[in-house]
Amino acid sequence: MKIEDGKPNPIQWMIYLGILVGVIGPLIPQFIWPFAKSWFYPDLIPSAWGMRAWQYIGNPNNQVLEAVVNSVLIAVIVTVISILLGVPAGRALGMYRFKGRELVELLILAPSIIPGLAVTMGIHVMFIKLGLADTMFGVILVHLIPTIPYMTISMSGIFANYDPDFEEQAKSLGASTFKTFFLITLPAVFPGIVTGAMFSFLISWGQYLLTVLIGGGRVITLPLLLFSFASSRDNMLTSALSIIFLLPAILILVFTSKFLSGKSSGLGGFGNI
Amino acid sequence: MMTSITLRNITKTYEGCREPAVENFNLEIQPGELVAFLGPSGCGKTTTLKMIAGLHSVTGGDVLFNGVRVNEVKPEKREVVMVYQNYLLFPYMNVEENVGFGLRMRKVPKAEIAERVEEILRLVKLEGYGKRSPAQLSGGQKQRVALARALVIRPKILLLDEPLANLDAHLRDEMRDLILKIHKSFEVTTVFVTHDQEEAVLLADRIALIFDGKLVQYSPSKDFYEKPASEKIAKFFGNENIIHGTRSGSAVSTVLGGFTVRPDLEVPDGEVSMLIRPESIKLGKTGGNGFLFRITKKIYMGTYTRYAIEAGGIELDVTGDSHDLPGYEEEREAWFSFQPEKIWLIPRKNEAEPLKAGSCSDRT
Repeated sequence: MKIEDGKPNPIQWMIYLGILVGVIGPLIPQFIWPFAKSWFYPDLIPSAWGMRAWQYIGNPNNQVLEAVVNSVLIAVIVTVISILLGVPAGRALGMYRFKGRELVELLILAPSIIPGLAVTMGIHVMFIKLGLADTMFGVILVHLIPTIPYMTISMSGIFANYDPDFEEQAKSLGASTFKTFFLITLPAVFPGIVTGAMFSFLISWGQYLLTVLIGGGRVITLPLLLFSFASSRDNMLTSALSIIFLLPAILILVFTSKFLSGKSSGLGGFGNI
Repeated sequence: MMTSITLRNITKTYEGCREPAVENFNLEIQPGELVAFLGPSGCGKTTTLKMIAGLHSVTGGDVLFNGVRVNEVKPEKREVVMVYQNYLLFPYMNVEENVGFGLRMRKVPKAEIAERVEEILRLVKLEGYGKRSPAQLSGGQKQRVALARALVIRPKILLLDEPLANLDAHLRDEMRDLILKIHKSFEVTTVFVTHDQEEAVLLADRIALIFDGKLVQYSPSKDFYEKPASEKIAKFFGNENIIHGTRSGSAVSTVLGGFTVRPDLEVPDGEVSMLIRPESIKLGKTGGNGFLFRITKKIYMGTYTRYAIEAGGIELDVTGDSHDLPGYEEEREAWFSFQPEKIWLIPRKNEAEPLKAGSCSDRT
């Protein structure tokens, strides 16, 4: 597709503006709250400013830092495992025709169709027996339920457009299996892996229900803290935490647009060339 | 040293397929020979090519290079390069990097790589294109880069999968000349796959004709026109002039009457198919073997004239010269004669079943 140069017309400008207001608008109070001391209706801005929220977050006794570390750790490990399992699975689904392929595809999709709550209770009972409940390892395992299907399905789309003949060609020119993978296969599917990984990270990062059920309140992550502050109506702390919570999403957004813009052909593998 | 290829009883059955894609394939390719694998699509010719390259394993039989069995040799160690129909230039590398890929895999020093890449690009007339990306090249240029990439490592064997199929008519001639030139100057044993008999005839020293995974005839291209092994092969090469009859020595009796044929043809007496090429049927009643036909169609082609003739339910094609003979007009009866030495016989038992599409074969 060719992107044409030129300026948007007034109607397009209106639409852009509407989207911008819709997206940014609700975020504005969120960035004001953490710096407020008191802010009551109907004041447009807080009547008094303060840093209480940030002091609370910075205090090591308050579990916030622990929660951030836990969240990052869990999300990173979950993402790595999702890549390691999702890429080969996606390749098999996208490239090979084998018996029972439809069944495998359905089973992989199943976790995203069935409500998480319904299965998690059963898993919880099993995890208690296995000694996995209330542990970080248990939480990581349960986070994989939504992320592996996501990774697998998006990689199968990438591999469906991928031409394995490129690998044969490389081998026939003298490349070992190892070099073929790193020089030919990986560059072709890398943008897909990056996209899949970023979304896997975000899915794990934002997970509340699975973490609270399997972690049993012992494994504290950011969404858990956020929920408890939100339900105790502490607007300053909730907003401050929300900003931290938003950070990876914003970073990923910026990174994606930088990394993938102009390389969108890579999303389809070699097939689009 | 040039390399010979021997395929001994090669069989390939794909997983989940009952019918083998290639069956009991025996072939001997001389060192430095240029051989075409010819056949309709899905007949197993690309599969066989990939088995020579080591990209597909053989289910049964042996592949030998210079008499040495290479079944277990990995594709990257065989010194056999395959050039694919769709070129498969690596999109994240420019032309130079693409061409140098095989040399880098062989850990050739950088300076030598640059030198050899430049030299080969000059050979395929792409000097100055080194820094371009594959997306900036035309089809013919991509094909030449693919060829250069294969040749730069000086392979023992060059395999070309449908090398002319994706090219425009005028590029085909150019590419054909380039392949011939390369084959001569590199002295590389070359096998190419094609479904176009004309392409095979123009390029190859010998043609291996493959139907349904089986080798049906392996001979110099001329023989496919003059000495086809079956009616099906004759028809594949565009000769529909077939008359059935019974042979006894140098005489064949048919519904039209008795024909005289060469007595030394190695075909047993009995049921035979007589084959004669359209250009070997002469207008007039010269010598023996003259028969009266009705002319159903006459087409003036400039340098020659085509006639469709019919007698006793037998329809034949005739290519005559353009000098009009009186009486050779549509719907008229006229004499046509068959030169005995140009008649080829096929025993009727060689009659193979009609072409069937490959039920479970390679993607091509």
